[in-house]
Amino acid sequence: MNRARELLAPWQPSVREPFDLARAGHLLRRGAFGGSLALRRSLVARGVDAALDELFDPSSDPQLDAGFTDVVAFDDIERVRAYWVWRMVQGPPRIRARMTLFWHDHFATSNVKVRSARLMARQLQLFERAGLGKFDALLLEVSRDPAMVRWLDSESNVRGRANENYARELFELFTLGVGQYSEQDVKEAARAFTGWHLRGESFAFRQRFHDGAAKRVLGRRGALGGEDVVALAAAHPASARFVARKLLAFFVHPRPTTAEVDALAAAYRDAGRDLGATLRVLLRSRLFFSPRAWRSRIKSPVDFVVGMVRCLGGRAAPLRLTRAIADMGQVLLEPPNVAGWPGERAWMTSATWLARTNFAGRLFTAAYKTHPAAATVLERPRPAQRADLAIELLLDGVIDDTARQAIHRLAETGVPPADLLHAVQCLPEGHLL
Amino acid sequence: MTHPHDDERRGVSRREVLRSVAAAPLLGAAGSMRWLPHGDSRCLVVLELDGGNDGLNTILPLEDPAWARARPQLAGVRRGAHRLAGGFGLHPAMSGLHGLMRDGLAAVVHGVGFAGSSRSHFHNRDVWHTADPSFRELRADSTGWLGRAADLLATGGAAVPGLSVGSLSVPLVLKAKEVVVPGLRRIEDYRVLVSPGPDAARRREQLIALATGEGEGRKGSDGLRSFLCGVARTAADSSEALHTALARYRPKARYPATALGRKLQLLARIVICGFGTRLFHVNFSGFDTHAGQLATHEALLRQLSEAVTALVRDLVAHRMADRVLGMVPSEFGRRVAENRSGGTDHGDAGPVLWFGGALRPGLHGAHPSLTSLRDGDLVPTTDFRGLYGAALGFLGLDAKPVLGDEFLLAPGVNPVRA
Repeated sequence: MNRARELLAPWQPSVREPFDLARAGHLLRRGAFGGSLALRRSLVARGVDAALDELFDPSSDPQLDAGFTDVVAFDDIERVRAYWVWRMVQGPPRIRARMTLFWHDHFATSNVKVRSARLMARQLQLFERAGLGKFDALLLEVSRDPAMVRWLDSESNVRGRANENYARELFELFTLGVGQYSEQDVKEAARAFTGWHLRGESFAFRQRFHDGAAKRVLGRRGALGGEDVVALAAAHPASARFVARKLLAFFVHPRPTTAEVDALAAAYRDAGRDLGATLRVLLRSRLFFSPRAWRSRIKSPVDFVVGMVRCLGGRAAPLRLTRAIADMGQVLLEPPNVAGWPGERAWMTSATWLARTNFAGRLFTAAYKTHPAAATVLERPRPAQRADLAIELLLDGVIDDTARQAIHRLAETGVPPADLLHAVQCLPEGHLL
Repeated sequence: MTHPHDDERRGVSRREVLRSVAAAPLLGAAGSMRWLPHGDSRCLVVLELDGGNDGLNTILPLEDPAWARARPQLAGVRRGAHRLAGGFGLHPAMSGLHGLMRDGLAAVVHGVGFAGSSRSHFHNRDVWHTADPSFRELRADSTGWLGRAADLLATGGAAVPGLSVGSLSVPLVLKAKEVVVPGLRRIEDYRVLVSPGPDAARRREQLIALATGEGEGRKGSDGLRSFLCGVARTAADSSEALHTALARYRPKARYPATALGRKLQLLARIVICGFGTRLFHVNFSGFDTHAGQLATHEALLRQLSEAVTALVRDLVAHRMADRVLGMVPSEFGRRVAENRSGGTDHGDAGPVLWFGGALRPGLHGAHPSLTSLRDGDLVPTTDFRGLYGAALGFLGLDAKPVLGDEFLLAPGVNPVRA
């Protein structure tokens, strides 16, 4: 227990380990979608606690949110996708925005089957609204979310002919993981969800299709309804560890240790399964700022593209960005299946590496018009200064000596600044989160 | 930046590098899996007519009076129809395909479908893709029949056994259990591109050297870094090897300047340069002709005929036609009677076209009756899985692990030459 406490104890900045550009960059990349050099510098000046306050700022931006109303009205999946990417690029650095992507991968719903841009947009709105609250409340809302109802066939789940799809994925992929429940649990939980249908495009409980007889689910007996099953699954001890593991894999390291999972699961229970409170502990922890977490994940296409544009502090046409993200293997709102994207090394293939490399090249070549930060590289008179600024801009200034020397040599050949930025971004470090 | 190895890299050792990576993964294969060329093996092309092609206005039952009766307006295509054996005709817009049929390079199987067809695009397409008529819902582990074939080929050593041509999204039919079947839109993108300029080649080399960790003499200092350096090396080398191979391709047929023409020429280049991909899926959409069908359908069939004809003529000229089998399915045929908007609604059985150099020419199987209908629809005479079995046989693959059973075709129905 002591060791567990140590892992999540608040990280203390010191002279040897200050809250510097690298740590501010790490916090912004993992907790948001990255940020400009100016933002990183201002966070360093304000300190780690102020940086966390910024990340966890609960206020919402009505101008940013107004777009949801528009895309819901348009009902065009390309527009929803582009709007979402635009939010990621233009929005303030918020953990809330980051969690929307996390939940989209966790509750992976695809428009290939839902076939309604409107419902997909409403699901994103749900993640944005409830993604940092209590897990129990989020899970209940997701279970009644119209896109989810269509995605996992809840509408064909009726008394006498139960459809197990939602019940199974609820246990297997959303809360417990394989091995923590029995086939009987799935069968009886499916009966508890009978009648959870839609009327038009809204959730409707239809009593006459509901099986009101007694069931036994996860050790509890009674005339259980869907709400009871959701509450049982969320409160199950395996669920705390399951959620903790997913959060650690997303925020800290792709393969969390048992000790790490135990520690975060305990913190999550202590916080009454409040996700915002749990994440605040995690992102302030020694573990989060440890070498184990630093550049230990491979950027997803969203991280790569959105992060690069935010790094430059500039703008880009969102539709072009969503297509670039798709070229790199991530079609937002169409995850490959209900388990979400495999992620990490699976992102990197010959084809997707080329897509990343060529997109970066095009972005930097075009950058001078639209990205003020990129233009500053031009203004540095000496090649070494240009090289160092490029490394600072894109890699928080952290790179080993041999790589730095190689970038310096490249700068001395007098290549255009766009090529310099391109080369820095294409270093292996440029693909690490 | 200095290049101590420039001369060496441009000279012998560079060529050796390229030769050795002819055995590197092309697309989709992660990390540094080995790719083995299958330059002389057979390929299957599935060209899907998306939306439900009106088979009765493609292969025309000219001599059946019930046909013209059910379609007073649409039967107008009989004028200018190309005559086929057995009293059938081919839509007038398909003169190229007619030439292929005359030369034994195209064939037709009548009345293909399955019992339990639903008139839903989505359900029927999922059934055709999974080869499972009892298919109900998409699950995490749902696979398509071409994906399962890709898994079999991958165990035989091909890292890029299948390809979705002309699109980056990969349809259910190509979803596999073990391998990832990639999509390829434009081959020009499959290369490290730098901004144009006098020293573009040198700048490309510099970029690759940095990305692969070579310019710094620090490869493989840890797991993730060396993995990323390896991906970059494979991508840079295999894309150069592919472009070198493709540079040798000379089209020997004139492809139409249509989206489908471009897709099929891309496919031809990959097949002809001997890259080893053996399963191709191409989507051609727009066939959901509920209204004003005559003009739309004619345009679609013309594009189809022109593009397929160019592909087959190109393959013949390159002496590759015997190694390529093409199959043109659609999720369903359409209602026998035309509707009041000059179109047709969702129906059931339809003909499947075939192309390539390994066919038994002509029309195969029994045409469904135009009078004994089921709910206004043609009743299938041949189960689509039998056609899949024939295609798998052409590839030298066992049907059973892919389809769950053999699904042998009735005598005389198989369009593929043994």
